Amino acid sequence: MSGGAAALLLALAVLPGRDHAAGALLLAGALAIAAKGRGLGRGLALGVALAGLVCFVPVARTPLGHTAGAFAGDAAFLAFAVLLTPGALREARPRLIRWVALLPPLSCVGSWLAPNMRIAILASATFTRVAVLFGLALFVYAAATRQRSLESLAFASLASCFFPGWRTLLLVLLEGWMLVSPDASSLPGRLRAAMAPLACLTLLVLFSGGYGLSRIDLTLIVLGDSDPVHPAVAWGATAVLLSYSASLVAALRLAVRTAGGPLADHVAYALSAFVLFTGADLLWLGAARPGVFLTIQLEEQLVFDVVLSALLLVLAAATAVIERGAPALREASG
Amino acid sequence: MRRSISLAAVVLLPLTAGSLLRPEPAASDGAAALRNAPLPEFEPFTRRVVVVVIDGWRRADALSGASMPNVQRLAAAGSRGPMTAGIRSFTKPCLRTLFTGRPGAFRDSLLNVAVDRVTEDSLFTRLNLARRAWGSSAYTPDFEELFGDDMREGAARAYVGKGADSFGAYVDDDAVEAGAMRILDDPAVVLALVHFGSVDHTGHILKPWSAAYREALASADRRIGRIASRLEQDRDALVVLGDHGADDDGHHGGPDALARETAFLAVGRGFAKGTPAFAPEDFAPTLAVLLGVCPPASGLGAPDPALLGLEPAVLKRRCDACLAARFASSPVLEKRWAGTPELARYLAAPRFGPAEAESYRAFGPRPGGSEHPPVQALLGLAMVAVVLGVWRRPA
Repeated sequence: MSGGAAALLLALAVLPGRDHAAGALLLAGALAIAAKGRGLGRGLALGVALAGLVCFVPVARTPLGHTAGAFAGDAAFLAFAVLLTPGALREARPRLIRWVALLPPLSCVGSWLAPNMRIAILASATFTRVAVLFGLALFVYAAATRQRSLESLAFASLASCFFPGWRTLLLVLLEGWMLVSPDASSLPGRLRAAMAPLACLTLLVLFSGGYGLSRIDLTLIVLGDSDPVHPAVAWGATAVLLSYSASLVAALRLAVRTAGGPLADHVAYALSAFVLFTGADLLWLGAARPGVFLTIQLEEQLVFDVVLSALLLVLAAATAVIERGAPALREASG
Repeated sequence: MRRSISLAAVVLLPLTAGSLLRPEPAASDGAAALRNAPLPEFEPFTRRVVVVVIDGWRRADALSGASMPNVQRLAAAGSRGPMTAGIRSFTKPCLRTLFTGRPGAFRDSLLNVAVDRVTEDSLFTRLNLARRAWGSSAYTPDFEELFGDDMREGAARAYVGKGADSFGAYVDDDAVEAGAMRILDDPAVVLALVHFGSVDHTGHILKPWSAAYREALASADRRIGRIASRLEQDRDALVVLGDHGADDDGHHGGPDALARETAFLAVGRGFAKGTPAFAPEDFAPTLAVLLGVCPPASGLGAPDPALLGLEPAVLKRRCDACLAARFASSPVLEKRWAGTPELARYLAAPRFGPAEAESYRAFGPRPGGSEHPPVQALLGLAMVAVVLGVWRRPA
């Protein structure tokens, strides 16, 4: 890893609060890309910066901001799905996949329209579950077989279930930018290794609301849990972990598109950065005797970093398996 | 490089997780002696105290009271003021602080599900030792998980709202209210705890600025009104308080101000009128005084004289007797504190005011330094060194 990237990650490791640094990084990065980009790419990068800003400011947490965010997110997802579906269907291989490809986006729309009740089989939660499960399966398949439109459509459907409102808008703009941008940008070589960890940090903060376990969005529990007598706690816990995985996967895809190189390298960089963050947290907590407020902030960071490192380890294993099986899968899909 | 990173993570992460999840040290003989120490008992000031905990009661909602007319009405006759929860603003650590007077621990930060059972003494231990009956009706099994020993040992009546789970994914406050009414039907009960969860739950799911949240507040207010109607104001007391607050997204658990800011309302026999600020550590000692028992010996709080409408001399006499018995029951404390000039000065003080309350608190055992042993620092250093070493190697 180059000296510049290592210095940047070390500086982040010793920062007690990473939320604001991450937000500033995203905005600066998006604006820098917008300044260099042209046409649609430039517009999308500017959109990412603006949507990221709205996610941070308090106006999003008012009744009016919430309604506007819900409308903006739904409208952006709908437009994205309509624009992408013809291309995704054209490139879908084998023929059976064409039928399955429509399932995640249609289920997303179904979950908006269906009643949020537990009695009917066509409840909102049922559609959400279908969108999450089929979206995940389709995304892995499309990523392994390099079907880019299908990959974007499946991932947007999956992730919009976890991150509604303004965050869906941000996600759709990011997906759009990744589709129209060239494969590897002009990011300076010395920063390439830091791209994946920085993207992980910023997207986790933007999508999950903050760097700390106290900000875990418990609304995820209702993703498939509408039965008050037998609440699906296991599903709730899975949904929480899946939501973090979705943020990490989005960040890794962004890193590949922005900095180039194989996905496994970026997973390794992100994993090593989060192991470094964990070590720095432990070092501060055990060696120094900071004040009470700083202690709890460091403890929150530490637990968060441990959970994310474990998730990245699982992603590293999954990436290795997919990379090994991908050629055979591509051959079979024709 | 990939292989080295994965190997380092596989080896180091379980070590980290192990150091985070290590069990709390077992209670020492000294702590057990302190828990079961025979402390003095007194004539109660109040026949019965009902404590209503509204989970996630945000300070702004509690003090403005736009959706809570019953709270407004009761506040006019008693005390209402701000309260700031501990830095681990999850429910269980906050309940632990409220009823033991001790702050939360690091393990409490782990998602609110890995909280250790309370092994030191609590307000309930004191009531059990004094053979006073108490009961709880709550939307989650938190009280049972935290104070299971006290519930088994004493004359406790406990009701847990049906359908609750470790994530609080479903809340049935109707069942909680029904359980509370059953406890109040028992004339022997001197302390009834009622823990409502729908305000917190609605805040998490539908956000604190939603209409549904207002309705949850109004519903909790109606329940408080019905419970208050069962009490006699000249003989009984009612306390309504939040365990913690919530931010504008309905989230809590960290040290941020909105997640910690909540409030309390205290009305009825034994409580003064006013708007004092109140510390959660002082809650159990204050209630203990009203109920005629000594404060929990392991707590760091003290009875709050600003909140109690009691004769200062009487309050001081009772606290002195508890303090003296506490020193006598613990050889460690006696050796450390009993002969100090500070104690002599405290015991000679003519009245019990806020300054004396602070002195009293100063005699309590303090947490012994950092919760994080040096071995964690060494592990952290190793992790940083390994990652930097891997980065220096050519890919």
